[in-house]
Amino acid sequence: MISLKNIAQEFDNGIEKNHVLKCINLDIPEGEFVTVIGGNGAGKSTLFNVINGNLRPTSGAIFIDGKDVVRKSHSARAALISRVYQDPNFGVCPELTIAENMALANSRGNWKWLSWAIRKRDVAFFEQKLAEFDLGLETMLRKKASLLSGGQRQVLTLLMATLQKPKLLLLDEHTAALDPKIAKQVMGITKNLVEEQKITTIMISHNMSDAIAYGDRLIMLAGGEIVMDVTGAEKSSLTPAELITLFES
Amino acid sequence: MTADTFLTSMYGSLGQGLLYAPVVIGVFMSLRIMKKPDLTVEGTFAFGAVIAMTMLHNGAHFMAALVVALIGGGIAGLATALIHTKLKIDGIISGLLVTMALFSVNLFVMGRSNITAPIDTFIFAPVRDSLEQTGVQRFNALLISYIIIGAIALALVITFLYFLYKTMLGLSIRATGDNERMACSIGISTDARKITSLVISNSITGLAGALVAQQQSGANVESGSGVLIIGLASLVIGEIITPKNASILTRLLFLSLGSFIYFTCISLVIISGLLGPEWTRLLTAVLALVALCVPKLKEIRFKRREALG
Repeated sequence: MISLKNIAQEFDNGIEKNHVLKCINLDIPEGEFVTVIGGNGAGKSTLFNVINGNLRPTSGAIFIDGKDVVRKSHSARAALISRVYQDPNFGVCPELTIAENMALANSRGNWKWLSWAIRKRDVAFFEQKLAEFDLGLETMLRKKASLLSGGQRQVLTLLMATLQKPKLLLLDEHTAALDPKIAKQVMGITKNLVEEQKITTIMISHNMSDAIAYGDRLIMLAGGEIVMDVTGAEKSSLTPAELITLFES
Repeated sequence: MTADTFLTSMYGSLGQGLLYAPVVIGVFMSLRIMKKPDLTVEGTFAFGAVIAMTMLHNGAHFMAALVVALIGGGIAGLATALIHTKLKIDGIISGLLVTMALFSVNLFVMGRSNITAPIDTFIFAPVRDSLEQTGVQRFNALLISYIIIGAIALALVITFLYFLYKTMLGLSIRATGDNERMACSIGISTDARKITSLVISNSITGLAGALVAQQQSGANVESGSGVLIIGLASLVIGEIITPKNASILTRLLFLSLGSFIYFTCISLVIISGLLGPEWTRLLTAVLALVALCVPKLKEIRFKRREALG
């Protein structure tokens, strides 16, 4: 269970205060997949930065399984929260091999600094995980991640983000930089990964039909507030056109 | 140039190449693994040289001198790392500040501007003596002792780094240099990794300073001057001959070869009489420049071929 209580974030440039988030309250039960939409400046990315610790909110609390993590640093929260960014270059180390990237991700929250980074049984485990995608990645374990295409990188990043099941998975428009065909494929993989492990997930999307098609719940942010929060039939009966009308109102 | 002088100069270059190779590895660690130049190198090298020579001058054993030089180098690296990570000063400036400060520290340690110690107290002496006993000429025995000691020191450094980079700690250091944002987001404390890497690379450089000082039979405040570019020149020469997709171990070995090639080039030009020793630094700069340009020329040729279809 993830709870945001009265989260407010204001940026003060010395002249005026900019309220980017105004009193956000949000409860996400274990295993729920939430999609978030909202225009530029609605506060979506700020919300993610507050949740994963890149930003300390001006006020409010964030509970993960009942524990307030607001005072925990970004790197301390990394054991609980995974985030996949829009830019495929953010999620992997290009000079490291795919196996080395996965070994790092597999240690998230359980670092054994002085043991070997990659053991034989890890390689078999990584191969098996990669083979599930049917992209031929399992034959490239010893290749540098820089050789991967954008789509392959995002798939690898997704896998790395979920290799150790996180308490919360944040997807920050993670298919926006990919071409439509690959984006669809990556969304399918995302859905499978999230549903298989029942990972609590928040996904920001700019694609209205994706936001409706995927996830259990849809939230719209505008001006730093939650202006719409729908689930179930109410969500699945929405059409992209309706959403865009709501968007503009 | 007679065959004899040629052979002697080859031995000399091999010894120098091996003794300087740890510096190249230190430069590699900062420039290639952490992707940030570390300008502490010259200060650290001189610091190691000065510590070792002062200790030998005062009757210490060479092993003690090497260990203290190693630690001294590590402390210099720690200073740079702390200024960079905790005070958020640019890495280049941090290195320059520490190098600047070390100049005075070196003068204080020596108590004068240069220092020497009896050649028999050096790490090379026991090896030279045992070689002499087997009938090798004294001068050649000394040259060979540089090669043997250099090879042992280099082997230790490479072995240490080989194992370090195989651990999760080493992998997290490489990740920090490669993609800090990613490293941070999976929970690696990147500042701690930067500090660890700088301490290790500067320890290695301090050790190299201590060894080279004994080869040159003395240390002075200028001991480290030019070392950074020598390291850079050797690094890029080594990288030209390194095979593609090489492992870290292979890369380290080829860098060491680069160091040998660098010293061979310099000594061949000098002993051939084309240029006097005063031109060494200009040669170094040109060599580094040429080596830096080679990968670019390859790229241009590749592009042209592609454009031609």
